[in-house]
Amino acid sequence: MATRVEAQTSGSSVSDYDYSSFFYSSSDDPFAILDPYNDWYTKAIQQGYYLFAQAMSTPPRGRIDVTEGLCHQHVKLLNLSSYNYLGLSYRPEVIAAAKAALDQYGLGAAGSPILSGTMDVHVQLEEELARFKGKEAVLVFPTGYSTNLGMISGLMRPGDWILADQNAHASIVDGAILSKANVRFFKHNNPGDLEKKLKQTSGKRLVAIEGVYSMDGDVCPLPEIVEVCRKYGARILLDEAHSAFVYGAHGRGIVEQFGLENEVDIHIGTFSKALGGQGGYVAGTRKLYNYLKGFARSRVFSCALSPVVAAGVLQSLRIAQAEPQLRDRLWENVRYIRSSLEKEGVDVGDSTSQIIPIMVRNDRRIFQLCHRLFRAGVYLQPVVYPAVAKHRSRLRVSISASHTFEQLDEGVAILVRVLREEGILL
Amino acid sequence: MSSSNKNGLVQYHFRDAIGGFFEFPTQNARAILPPDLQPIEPHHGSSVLSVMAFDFHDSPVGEYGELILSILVAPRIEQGQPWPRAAFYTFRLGTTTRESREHAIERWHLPHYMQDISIAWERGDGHITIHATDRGQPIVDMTITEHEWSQVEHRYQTFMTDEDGAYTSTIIMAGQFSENEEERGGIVLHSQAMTELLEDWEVDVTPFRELWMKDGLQTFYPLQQLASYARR
Repeated sequence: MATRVEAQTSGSSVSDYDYSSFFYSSSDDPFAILDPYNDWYTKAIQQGYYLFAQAMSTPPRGRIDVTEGLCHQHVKLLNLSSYNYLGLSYRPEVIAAAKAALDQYGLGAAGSPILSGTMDVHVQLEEELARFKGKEAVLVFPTGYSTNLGMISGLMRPGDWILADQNAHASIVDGAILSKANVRFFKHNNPGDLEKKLKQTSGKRLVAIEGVYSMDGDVCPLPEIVEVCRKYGARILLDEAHSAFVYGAHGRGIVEQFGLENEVDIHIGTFSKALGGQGGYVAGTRKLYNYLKGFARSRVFSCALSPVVAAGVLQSLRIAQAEPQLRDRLWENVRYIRSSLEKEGVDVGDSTSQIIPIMVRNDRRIFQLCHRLFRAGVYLQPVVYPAVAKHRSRLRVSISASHTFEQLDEGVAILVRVLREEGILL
Repeated sequence: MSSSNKNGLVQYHFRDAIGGFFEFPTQNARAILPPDLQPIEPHHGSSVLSVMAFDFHDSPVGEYGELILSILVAPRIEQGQPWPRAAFYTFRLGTTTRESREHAIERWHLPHYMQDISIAWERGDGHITIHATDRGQPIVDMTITEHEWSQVEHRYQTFMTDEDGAYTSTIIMAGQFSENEEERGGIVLHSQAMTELLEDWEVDVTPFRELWMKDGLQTFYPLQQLASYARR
């Protein structure tokens, strides 16, 4: 196999290729692309160019056990990769609530939410979340991805306009494509460029942004964006996947932080980040809720969120409201590690959040770097194309309230040493 | 040295070949590309304009310079064949001589700017700059910086189209090669007939990738006519 791939790459390195290289084959057989792709994929794994999906055998705590992908060895690592921002995924009360739901409902919902899949725990979750968000209604989706997909394609139509931030999540992009509306991207976090694009459009317009951008960790300039959107009569969709339950005095997200909770039309969030579960939601008016129940096809034609997960998420939501000290602890950790990294001269981009990118800007080196970090005891994932632009690869550090200062010190020490040895940090 | 051998390979020797990859909106890329070619998008909604310049010293049509404007597209993987490192759809090409232009139109069906252009090469310490002009009117100024050098042989794919159909060819580039993503180079696209398509394109002025090959050989494989870009 290795010999064959050498011939196929013909003087190029396996790192010269990525997913975009395997889009077309010249054959009439749709399967003809599988052999070339698998040749590359196999070689990429052999050369350590592919580090993803290594199996974890513990909860996503500060320290985890992972099965290493190449030699299948079990290793203990310091975890700087998981979302779980408030450390709720393994809280005993959350686990107990999920276990009780398993006993009460069984494993799955066994139906679409519009048919037989809605259980009382789903209704309870939607009602409590709506009260927390201060909105008329919340609609729960089985995943975060399906939330944006169903929301955008359920509301927007061919001929309408969707203007999305250039760094918007794939679920926003895919929802926009599925809607068949016209799609334009404005420069990241740039209200001036948004205004320029709005001026070029007319008719129904939806501006899609995120509270905290998942790969850069920077916060959107919401007041300026709201001002521009109001000027042009555009509706605003704000995805708070990484900022809900984390930002704001009560955890209601950056809308609360900026005092703009009533200026955003559509509030999106997920349960898989701060709440440590799975699923997503749309919060807004009752009329929006009623409409999406019929038109959000990613929800209508999926099995409802497992009641086990819904019960766990509901308990996480209650803890997130009852224990504001978890957010305090998270922000204390964020300040601590940011200060430590900056003292060492590490480039953390424009992040001000619990997501801290460490910019490497070189696809070829980032995998080597991750291997070295892995061997040194740190679990940190490379972020490369298509998650970020091809030339903007980075490591992404995710901080949790459950990290200890000792763990953060250890992580920074290893990171700085490896970055220096690799010549990325001088 | 220049030749077209019995296998139909055509070779062009060059002193320097430089290239910059610049982001620009996909809506503009799609306005140029045939509908079944997929632009490479480094960002959502953002495609890649490739600007390349060659300083040929020996070829079937003698010594000449060339400025090429292309869009990066997904390659077409041929079963059992080596994979191209990248693929380009060339939409405008300028040359410094009439002979080279006629040769490329006839042989490779490449869409040309029909005036002779001039390309001045400034070779500096760690960087190289070209100034492309048409009868004194500036077209493009581009600076590319160097990084580590190594001897390579890279395979590329090019797509072209004219009123007779769609075509592809494999190109092998061999020579001393430097590539970097340090974002130290730059481009100025002047308002001029050759670049008129680019005027409202919001092209980034800094290349996210810079390529430079020295003392190299460009080998074109025979042209293939395509029924479709994505099929045989």
